[in-house]
Amino acid sequence: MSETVISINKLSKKFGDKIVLKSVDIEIPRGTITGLIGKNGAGKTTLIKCLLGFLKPSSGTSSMLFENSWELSNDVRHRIGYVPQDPVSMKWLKIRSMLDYTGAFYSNWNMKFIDSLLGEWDLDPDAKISTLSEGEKQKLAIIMALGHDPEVLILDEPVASLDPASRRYFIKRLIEMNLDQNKTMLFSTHIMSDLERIAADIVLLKEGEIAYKGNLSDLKDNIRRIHFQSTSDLPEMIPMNNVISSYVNKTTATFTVNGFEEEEIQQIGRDLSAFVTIEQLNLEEIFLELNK
Amino acid sequence: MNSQSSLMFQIQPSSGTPIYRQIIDQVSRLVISGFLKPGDELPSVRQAAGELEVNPMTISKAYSMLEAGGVLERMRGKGMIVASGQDSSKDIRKRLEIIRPILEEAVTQAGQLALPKESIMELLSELLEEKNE
Repeated sequence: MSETVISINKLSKKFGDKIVLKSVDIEIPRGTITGLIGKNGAGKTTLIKCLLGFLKPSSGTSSMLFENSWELSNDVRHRIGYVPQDPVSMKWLKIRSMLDYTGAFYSNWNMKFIDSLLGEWDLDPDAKISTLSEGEKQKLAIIMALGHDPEVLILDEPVASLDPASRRYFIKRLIEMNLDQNKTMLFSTHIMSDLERIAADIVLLKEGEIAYKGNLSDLKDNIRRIHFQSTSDLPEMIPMNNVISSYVNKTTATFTVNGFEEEEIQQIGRDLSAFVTIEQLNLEEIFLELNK
Repeated sequence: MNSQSSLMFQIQPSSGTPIYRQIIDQVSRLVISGFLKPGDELPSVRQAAGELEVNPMTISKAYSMLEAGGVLERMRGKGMIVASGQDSSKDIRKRLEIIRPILEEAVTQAGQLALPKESIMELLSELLEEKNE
C-alpha cells in the first residue's frame, strides 16, 4: 500500500451546540481517488475545510502530506489544489489577469496546461469574470486549482454547474492526471454516475458520521435488494440477515441487504412459498438506501 | 497481431454490476468464444482507463482477477495477453459455462413456478429447433 497522504483522526466539529462532524476517521493513500458523498448538510464541506486548515476542528486532528492541517506550511499548500464549492473571484478582472494573478504565487504555474483547458472549455481569456455563467465560473475555479500542478486535489462539488459534456471532459482529465502523475484526489459530488467512473473508494457521511467507507466495487458486490412475492400474506418476521432496510406489506416484502448468500435467500423464498427476485443496485440507489 | 482496441469492452458505470466484474465477464466471454486467442494482447490499463473514462485501479483489479483465474497472463514489457491453453473454441464444456448463469436463473424461476421438468425440456427443445430452422 502506498503512503497515506490524507489522514483524518477522530475529527469532530461543533458550531456552537450544533455537532456537524462526529469522530470522523479517514485515511487516503497516495494515487487513489476517493468520492465523498452525503446529503446536503451531512458535513462534507466542513470536513474539507477542516482538512485544508480553513476551520479548526473541535477535537481530533487531520493532516495533509504529513503536516497538521491547522499548521500547513507554504510548501505543502503549494502541493495542494482546491476547487471550492462557491468560488469567490475578483469579478472586475479578466480571466487572463485572474490566472496571471493566481500564477504569481506559484513557481511552477503551467500556462500550457491552462491554455489547453481554456481552449477545450471555450473560455475566452479576455472575458470579464463578472460576465461569466455559473458553469464558466466553475471551470475557471477548476483551472485555477490545477495550474500549479498539485499532487493532491480536493474538489468540493466541482462539477455541479457543468454541462454533461464539460463534466465528462473534466473526468477524463482527472483520470489522466491520476494515471500519469499519480495524483491523489478527494472529490465530493451529488452526481453518482461521475463517482461510479472515477472513484475507487467511497466515504459516505450521514449526519456528520461515516455511514460507509470502503471500496465502491465491494459495496456493489455486497448490496442487493430482495423481493418476495407470495399469493398469501407474508409473516411480519422474515429471518433475513444484514438488513439495511425492509418493507413488508401483505403479500410482498422487500429487503435491502449488505452481504447475502443466494442459496439462503432462495431457501427463505421456498419456506415462504414466495417468488424471489434479487436485484443489484447502482450507487444512486445504494446512496438512497444507506441514507434511510 | 496488433493490440486490440479497448473498444472491445463496453461498460455501464451506473449498472448495479461493478465495473471490474463487467470487464471480467466480457473478457472471459471473448476468450471462451474464441474471439480472443492465446497470445492476443489486451489494451493497457492506461489505454483502457483513458478510453472508458474509469478509474485505472478498476481496470487493474479486473486484469489481476483474470490473471488469477488463468484467463490472462502478464507479459514482460507487453502488458496482459490471453493465456496459452485458453483456446476453448473447440471445448464445448467451457462454452456451456457462459450460458450456465442464464440457465440457472431459468431453473430457479421454473422451480418457483412449480413447472415440471418435462415441460421445461420440451420448451427448450422447441426454442432450439425454431432457431435452427
